[in-house]
Amino acid sequence: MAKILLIEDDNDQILLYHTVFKMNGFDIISAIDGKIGLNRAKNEHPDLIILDLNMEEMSGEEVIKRLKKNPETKNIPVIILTNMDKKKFQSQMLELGAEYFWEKTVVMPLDVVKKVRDFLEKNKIK
Amino acid sequence: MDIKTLILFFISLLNGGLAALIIFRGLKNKANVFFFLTLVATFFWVFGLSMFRFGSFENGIYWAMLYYISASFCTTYFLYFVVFFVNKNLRKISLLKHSLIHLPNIITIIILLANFHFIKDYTLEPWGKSIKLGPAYFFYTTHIISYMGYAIFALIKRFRKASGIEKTQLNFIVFGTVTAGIFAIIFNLLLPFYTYKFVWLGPYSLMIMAVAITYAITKHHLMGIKTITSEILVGLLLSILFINIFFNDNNLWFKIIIFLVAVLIGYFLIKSVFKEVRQREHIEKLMKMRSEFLDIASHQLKTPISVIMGTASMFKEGSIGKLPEEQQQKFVDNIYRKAVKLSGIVRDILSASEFDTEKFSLPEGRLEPVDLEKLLVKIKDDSKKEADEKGLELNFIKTKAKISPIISDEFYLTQAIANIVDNAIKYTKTGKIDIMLDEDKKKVILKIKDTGVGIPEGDKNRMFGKFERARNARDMYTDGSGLGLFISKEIIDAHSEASIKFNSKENEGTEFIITFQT
Repeated sequence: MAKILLIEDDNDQILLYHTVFKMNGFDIISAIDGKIGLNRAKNEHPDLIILDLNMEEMSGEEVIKRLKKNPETKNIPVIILTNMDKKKFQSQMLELGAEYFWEKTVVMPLDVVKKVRDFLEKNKIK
Repeated sequence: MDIKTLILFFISLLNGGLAALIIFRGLKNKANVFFFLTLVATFFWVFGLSMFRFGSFENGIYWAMLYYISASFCTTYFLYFVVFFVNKNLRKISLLKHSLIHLPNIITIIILLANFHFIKDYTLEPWGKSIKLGPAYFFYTTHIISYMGYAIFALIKRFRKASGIEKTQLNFIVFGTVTAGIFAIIFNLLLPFYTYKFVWLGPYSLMIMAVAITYAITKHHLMGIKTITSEILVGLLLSILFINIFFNDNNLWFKIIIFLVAVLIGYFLIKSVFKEVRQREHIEKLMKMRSEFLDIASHQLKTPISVIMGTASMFKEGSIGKLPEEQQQKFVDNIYRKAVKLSGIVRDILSASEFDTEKFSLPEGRLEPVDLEKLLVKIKDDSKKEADEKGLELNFIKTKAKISPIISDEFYLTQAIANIVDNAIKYTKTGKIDIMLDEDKKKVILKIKDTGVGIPEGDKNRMFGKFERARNARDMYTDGSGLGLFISKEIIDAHSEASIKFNSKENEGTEFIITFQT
């Protein structure tokens, strides 16, 4: 069972994604801000990270920078799932090493699950 | 008139023009006032020198006196300028100190007018009029060199501490004044001990100063290139007309009248260009604010929309239907809460644009006595979940059993107070928020006190502005639109004899105090 780490500061979003990932056979854990997310990434070795950008304590940008710097976490694929403007932030995030940039109002929860599954299969992760 | 004298005339007018420019900009502080006076004195200094060369031999000596006295004042005012420029907090200088600083000027005037060993001899040499200086001139030299020396020393000291734009600007100002100062000291102060031949050369360095200062100002867009161009053109035209007056004395009065008319027209021309540039700057600022606002607003709107859409999409394709009813209810609650939040944001944006066009007033027909206690309890209940999520205590405290109702509109009043409570929750990381209600004589007093980040001193003045957010709040994560306080103030101000103000200390918290007439 693939393990997903969701770094997201909105409780309603967390509930939503927990439900939909669990229903579709994934193991999902979450972190309410960037700092906690970084620790969980190190300790729990998720197969994939879904990361929000606009967060208290530590922004998503800082989180991905640190994830990619640390040899322990740099190989974990990161997908950005956010409400921030795609035109403004996508290229920067892909440069920092994100796999995809998805907007929450465009990619619906079930599509997120499907796309994540395809990505993991294509890259032969679990 | 020879070309050297012509250029001197032009330089004196340039200084006069710069002085006028400072007046246009407004004498906002003491440093400006003294820079203006420095330029005026410089104008008289160079003008005196020009007339010394240009006028008859008999009158030359009086023009010489004028420029010696002006130069003395020029140095004094420059010293004042530097002192006020360097110590921004300096408010007042005592009368005694003023008198002491002015003492050398007074002595200069006395020894010049009494002809006390200042000017030893006045002759006509093959290259022009010449003055031989007496022992009293030593006093004059000491005065000028010590004042200029101190001023330049203080400027350089300040320059080394400066940073950013101020440093670049000071760079040019220091370079310009130091060059001009050194030139003037050599050619106008020291060299005349030996020969008077090169006395015209000193003021030429003022051109370097004027160019350097103008460059410093324009380079950083402190005023538009358009204003500068119009000022230079008007200045040039006036210089030509002014010099023309002295060329020959035919139609003297006519030329003077033409010159004065040109001054008047030039004044209005520059003024209108200034106005236009200011308006453009204002529009640019509004455009920037608008795009910042759209960025914030679109993100803020998308946050609740994404939850509503995501949850609804799961209902639609049936996954949520498989869950136990209790959990389904939770998802419905989430949709509802986010929709309420969304409508609040939309309401804020609409209100802000409504207030944009005219001064806001409460809807006449709908005004009625509002029970503040009931309203506050509702606001508290609505905000409870958000406070709980952040682990904050949210209290409602009432010091009197019965609080008189106030005449208002419930919808707007709720909006005004809820915005402040929302802010208190948003900008508080740990601790509590107290909503306190009290009545005193004919006033109902409402206080909303938090233990949050507080408002930095420098941001306090603009907190009620539109789209404004304190510096420390901007650094912090937030989904605020920057409209909340603006809307609250507009609404509170629309009540008769109501007021809103705040006390705040950075890192300690903020207390908003709203007072209503009963």
